[in-house]
Amino acid sequence: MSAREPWRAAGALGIAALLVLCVLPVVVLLPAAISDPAALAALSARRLGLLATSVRLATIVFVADTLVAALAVLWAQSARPRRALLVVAIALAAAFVPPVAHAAAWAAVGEGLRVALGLSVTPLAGLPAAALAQSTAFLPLAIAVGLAGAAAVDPTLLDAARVQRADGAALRRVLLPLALPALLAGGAIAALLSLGDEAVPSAFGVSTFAMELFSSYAADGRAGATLALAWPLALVATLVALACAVPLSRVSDHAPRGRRAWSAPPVFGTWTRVALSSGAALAATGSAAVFAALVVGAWPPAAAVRAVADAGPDIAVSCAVAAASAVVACVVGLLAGSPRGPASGPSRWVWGIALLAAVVPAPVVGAGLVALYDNAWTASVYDSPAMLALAALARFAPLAAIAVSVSASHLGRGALEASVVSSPPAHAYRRVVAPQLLASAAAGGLLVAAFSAGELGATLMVLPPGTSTAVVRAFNLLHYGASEEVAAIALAVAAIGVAAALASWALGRRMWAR
Amino acid sequence: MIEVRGVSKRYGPVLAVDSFDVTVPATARVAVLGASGCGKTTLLRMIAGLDVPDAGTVRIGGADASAPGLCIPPHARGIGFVFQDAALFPHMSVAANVGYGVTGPKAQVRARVLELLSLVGLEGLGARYPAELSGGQRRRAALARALAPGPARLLMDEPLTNLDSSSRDALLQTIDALAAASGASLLYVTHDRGEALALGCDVVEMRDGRRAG
Repeated sequence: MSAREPWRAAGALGIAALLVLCVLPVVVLLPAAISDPAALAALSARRLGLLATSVRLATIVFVADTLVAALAVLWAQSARPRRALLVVAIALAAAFVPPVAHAAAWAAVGEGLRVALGLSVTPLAGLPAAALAQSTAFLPLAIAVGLAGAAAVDPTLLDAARVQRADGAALRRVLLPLALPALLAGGAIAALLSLGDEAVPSAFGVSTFAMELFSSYAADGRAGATLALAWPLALVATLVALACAVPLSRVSDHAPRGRRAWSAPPVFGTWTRVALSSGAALAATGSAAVFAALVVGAWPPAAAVRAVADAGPDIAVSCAVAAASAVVACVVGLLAGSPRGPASGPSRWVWGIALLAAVVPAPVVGAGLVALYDNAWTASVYDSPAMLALAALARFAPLAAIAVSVSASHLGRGALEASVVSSPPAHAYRRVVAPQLLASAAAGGLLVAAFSAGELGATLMVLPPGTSTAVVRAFNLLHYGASEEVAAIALAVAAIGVAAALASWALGRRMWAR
Repeated sequence: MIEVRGVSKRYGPVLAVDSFDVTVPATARVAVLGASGCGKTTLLRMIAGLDVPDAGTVRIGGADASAPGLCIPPHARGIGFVFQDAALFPHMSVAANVGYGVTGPKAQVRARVLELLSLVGLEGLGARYPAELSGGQRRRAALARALAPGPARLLMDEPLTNLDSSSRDALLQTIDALAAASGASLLYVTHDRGEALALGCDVVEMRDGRRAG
């Protein structure tokens, strides 16, 4: 154990765990992929068209989510605290509705509009509808990242700007540019999720490259070929991920905790007020519309209760997978994202693994897990629901490590040095480092739980016989046209997610109060 | 002229400023002297309009700036503010920082920025970013930014904190010279009586949010 890096062993353990969870399922496919030159070169005109559709969809989602999140975040910074909390809570609640249920909700809205307007076909169909559903599904994440970025702006800078120029200028020239990296990163993450999503587009009859990967594997079961086929999508995703990693690394955090950005209420011009309020209204009404459509779709309550009872075992599996993934991701994240020593920042490995997990399409992850665990030695794992947690962890475990890593980069070096001077490294880690990173690890774990509950792309490929999840059930029901049951299941999953988030928040507050 | 009459400010259970009075006549220099946490910064922030007083009035240039039901926006008060930690905008160059509050044709703004950079001894550093400056240079840039729009009143919140003694002495001389040249009235907050006396300020002492003595 080095004196300069007393916590190196803990970090190495965490990185090793992330490599096994996230990288191994991809690496295991490489030999087969390289030995399949036909698949590597198989970028036909049809597949190029599918790639173009995926990119078009992701671009719309990026623009829509970045714009709405930026306006909503800037509005929340300047609005009265209670009002801002209410609107942000409504907007973020949509994160607990699985993306496939967003598709069901907007399809129901389209059908309602068709009937109300006396149209022959639904106005919400095809690519625009898929873009709308993906935008509302991924907007909460863009808002959450944007809020974190805006909160990291030192309020004193706004004070300095306000003394000399009107509040509108302070907003445009100081707050917006400083929060912009996080806002762009949030939009880019939404675009990444859009690129890898096959469920929402397929619900509106839109074929994408991610669906092509799934179909290809389902047709011939050649896992290596699936990875080889994935390279164009992975390349686009890598470019998007790099574009989001660069601004994220520039997010500064020197803000004194507990201070609001605008100490005295700001006074904006009419157009600025209208623009910011519109963004907040769009974010909240988008989320509220999804919930309203699901409630209307699930009506009457007796039928909804019956549907939820029927789906009970699947919902229980989803909850168990989400909880297990969250706990494992939290522990691994705490180890991998922690600093190696007082003077050294978190490992770059975390960012590298996160990048890989973000750019590998979900069907490839599923195929890799099958290739890795479908053998005599790991048959007991392969035939169990643990595969579902492994699928979720392979895709989302680095999120918790990233959350811890960002938080770790703001730990006071002096306090860390003081901790290792006066006690053994393990004691210092337990008493000084870990408590300061616990909140971000928990937040990361919650994020992993929310994503795991909605995971479909890899889950579909590793589902053990006789087992299903709430989202798989909803996906299947959606294709059979049973939208009432989809709505009821989605509401149940969202209610459990919101309850878990509120419980975590209350627990966190109590821990901080101590 | 700045006239503060009976201003109070409470943060939760803490009464940060309690019925405080102070007057800074035009072109005069007044220092508010007190220990850390006695309410000096809160007082300055209320004068600048960055915080709203719970009670009392702030008059600037003979007109009400803060009073019950009234709060003139900070930028409309005609003040320059030098913050304790400089508070330079990290995404702007030094020149852009200094020119932030200056309005008018670009050439005019540029000329004013160059003039100020020269006055504070930062010639040739306009293209640098705050992270590329030393602590003393950052304070000089902050002083230049506060003076650039030509405010009639200058508020300074412990501008020499965390500087080495030679940098402090040099910056103190610069502040003295520039405050005199600008003709602005100066309200200087510090815990160091020596700084206040070196600037030739009338001293008002503050203790636990109240005027002492």
